[in-house]
Amino acid sequence: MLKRIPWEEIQKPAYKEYNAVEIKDVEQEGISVERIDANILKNFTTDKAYGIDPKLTEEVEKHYNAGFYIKISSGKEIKKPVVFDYIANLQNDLLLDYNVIEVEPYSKVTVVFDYNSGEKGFKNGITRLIAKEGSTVNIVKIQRLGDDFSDFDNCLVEVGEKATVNWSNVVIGAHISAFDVSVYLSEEGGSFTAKSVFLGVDSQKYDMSYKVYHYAPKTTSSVDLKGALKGSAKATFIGNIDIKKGAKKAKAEENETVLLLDKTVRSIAIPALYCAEEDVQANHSASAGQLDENKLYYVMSRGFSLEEARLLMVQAVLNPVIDLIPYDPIREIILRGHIGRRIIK
Amino acid sequence: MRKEEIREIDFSIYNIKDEVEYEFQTGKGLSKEVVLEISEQKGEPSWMREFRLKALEIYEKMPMPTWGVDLSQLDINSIVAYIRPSARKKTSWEEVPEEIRRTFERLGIPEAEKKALAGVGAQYDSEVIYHNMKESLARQGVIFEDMDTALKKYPDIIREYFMTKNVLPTDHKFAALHAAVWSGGTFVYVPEGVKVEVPLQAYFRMNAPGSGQFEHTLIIADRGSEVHFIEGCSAPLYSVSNLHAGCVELFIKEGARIIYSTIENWSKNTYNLNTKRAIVEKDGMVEWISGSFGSKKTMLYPASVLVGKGAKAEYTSITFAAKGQHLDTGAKMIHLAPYTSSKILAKSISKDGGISTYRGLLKVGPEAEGVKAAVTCEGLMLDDISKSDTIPVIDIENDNVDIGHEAKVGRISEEQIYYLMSRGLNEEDARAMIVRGFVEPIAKALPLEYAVEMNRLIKLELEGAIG
Repeated sequence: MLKRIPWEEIQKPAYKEYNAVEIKDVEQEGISVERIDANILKNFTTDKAYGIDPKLTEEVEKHYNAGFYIKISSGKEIKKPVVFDYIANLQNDLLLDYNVIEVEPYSKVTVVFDYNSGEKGFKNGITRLIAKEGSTVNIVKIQRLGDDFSDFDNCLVEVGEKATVNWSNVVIGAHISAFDVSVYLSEEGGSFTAKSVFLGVDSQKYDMSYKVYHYAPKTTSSVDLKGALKGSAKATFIGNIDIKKGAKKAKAEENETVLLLDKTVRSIAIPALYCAEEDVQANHSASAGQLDENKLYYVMSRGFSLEEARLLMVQAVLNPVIDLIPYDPIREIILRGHIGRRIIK
Repeated sequence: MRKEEIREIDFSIYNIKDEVEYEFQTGKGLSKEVVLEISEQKGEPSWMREFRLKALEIYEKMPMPTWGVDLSQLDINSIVAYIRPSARKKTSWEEVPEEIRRTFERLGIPEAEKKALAGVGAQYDSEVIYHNMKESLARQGVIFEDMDTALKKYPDIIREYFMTKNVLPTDHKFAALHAAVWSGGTFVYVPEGVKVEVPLQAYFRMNAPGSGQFEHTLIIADRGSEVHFIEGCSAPLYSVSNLHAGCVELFIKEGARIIYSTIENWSKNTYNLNTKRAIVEKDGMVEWISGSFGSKKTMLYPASVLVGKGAKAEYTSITFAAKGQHLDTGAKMIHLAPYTSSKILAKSISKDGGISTYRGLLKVGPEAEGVKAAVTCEGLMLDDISKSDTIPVIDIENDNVDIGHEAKVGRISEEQIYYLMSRGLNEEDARAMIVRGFVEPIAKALPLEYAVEMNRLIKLELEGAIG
């Protein structure tokens, strides 16, 4: 079991059904959505390593109680984002979702997963994305579950030839929240970009990892994670760039910025870079620090209180990513509700 | 397209094996008897004997590390832990037996002593065979002794500081091994306010095949003092493995400063599993300068524990991993007090299938407010069969910090070559200039004589070939 996660703090309800998902804008040409089942999954076995911990992926594989197989036909551009709204509540406090997204060549789609509401419960899921030749796929994963939730998300992304995957994680909820996104760039010219944010307050514990494997020539990746920590929140960020031999002219970059808002926070970053190929460009950077005092002073001299000024500056860091959420109602709720409420108490 | 070839370091002068008679050596392997025998041979006080035995117990209980380099080929049971040449320690090179003196002359040590050093210690296998310091320093109260002599002359200081509050035998398996079988090394004490203007040097030479060298270096810089210590290491190449598991403990009192430079050039059959740590008090400063060129496998992460307000640490290193080498090095910066600062600049070159790994830790404790820390790692790959890995860990436990980390890996870019060639250089010279520029921050940090020595050592010969 992964040592970084405080397993003893995790409470899990007894196994039960989950029936509270809402899907929006699925009635578009070129999409087919089916409930996941063993018949579908037998076509998607993989030997690729991914996930936070094998125990967690195994649990979903064996006991999933929700999830969809989403298929986009070849050459189709899906105009409106498809939204999977996984709602948690008292009856639906155990969610084990298994989602498979298969995007056929040269099609375009945006899929939003919004895990929200509830107070207390357990969520563990797998999301598989297969982006085929020349496709463009945008995935947004929003985690704004209740304060006593434990949340785990295991993602495996396979990027095809000249395909583009844009990925965003927005992490603001749950008590313990961990995700792993493992990305395989095994075909020439594949590209993966992650722009993600997190906001940890009180005693929230986050564990976030991106593992990007460059196998093929001319593949590119960029991981940009920004976040803020307040109270006694703790965040761990693992960012692996792994450039294998043969990935000539690969480009990889990785960036993490953490704003530390209280003395009692804890921030751990391990931005590792493995390189077995010379003809590449790879770099990573990480920074951590307080809000700039001069900027705070300036904003306050314009009539804002300290709390408001802090909120403004945290928003300045988080908003560029939140603005990428393609679905207006959720974006508004996050901007006005979640972030404001958590920074100003 | 022209292809450059960067030759490996010319090892020939380091490779000359001496026919030296050994007066005493323990058998291969490690046991209570071996440890007792070392202690007996050295005529040590009983507390040191007990300390060694206890460490041996710890060593036996601890598992081999499973991370870092592959240690499966290292067979401790085939290593001779203690091997003493038939020479006794001298204070004049004339008295050192000829074969051993010749070795050190080839390495340029007596020459350097005359020109640029305040004191020199030379260790041959397990024992120090030469030790000398300028008289002016002795008059100021500076102590520069080999460790075994220091144990006899200053037992109280050694007992207080020797692996009791800095590196502990329980830290890891090779620290325990070191504590059990240590031999030789250096003890330096610089009294309050004394600034040692010219560097002190220790040179460690392993000559016997299949042996281990476990020297212990202990430096105490009292309040407001300054000292620059240089260590050099080399060994001839054998087909059997040698093991180097030294230990360096630095104590830097208020306002004091130690510069610790290492030019490591062990032969490529050596496992270099070394431990180095500095404890830095208020306004003190430690500067690690390190060039790692040799050894088969290295695991070395000099640590700076900043316990006093305003303490500073710097780590500047160059690692050159060629064929068959895996050099896993980095620095640990542990900030435990307010307004402490640290800076890491780690550079590496990999070629011919060599693996260079930067593995580091930057830790800021809850009390360490106002910390500033910067980490920069740069890897230069000279071909596509080598590897360059960077694994930094940044762990922060309070908000009032300013931390930055940057790393990049790549090869010599075409644009740089193009630019230099447009300025009239040929391609060969352009590449050479870029590589020299890459290692320059390290060369700059060393005293001039040593920078020249290092450049000679690297001897990065760039040779054009149409291909």
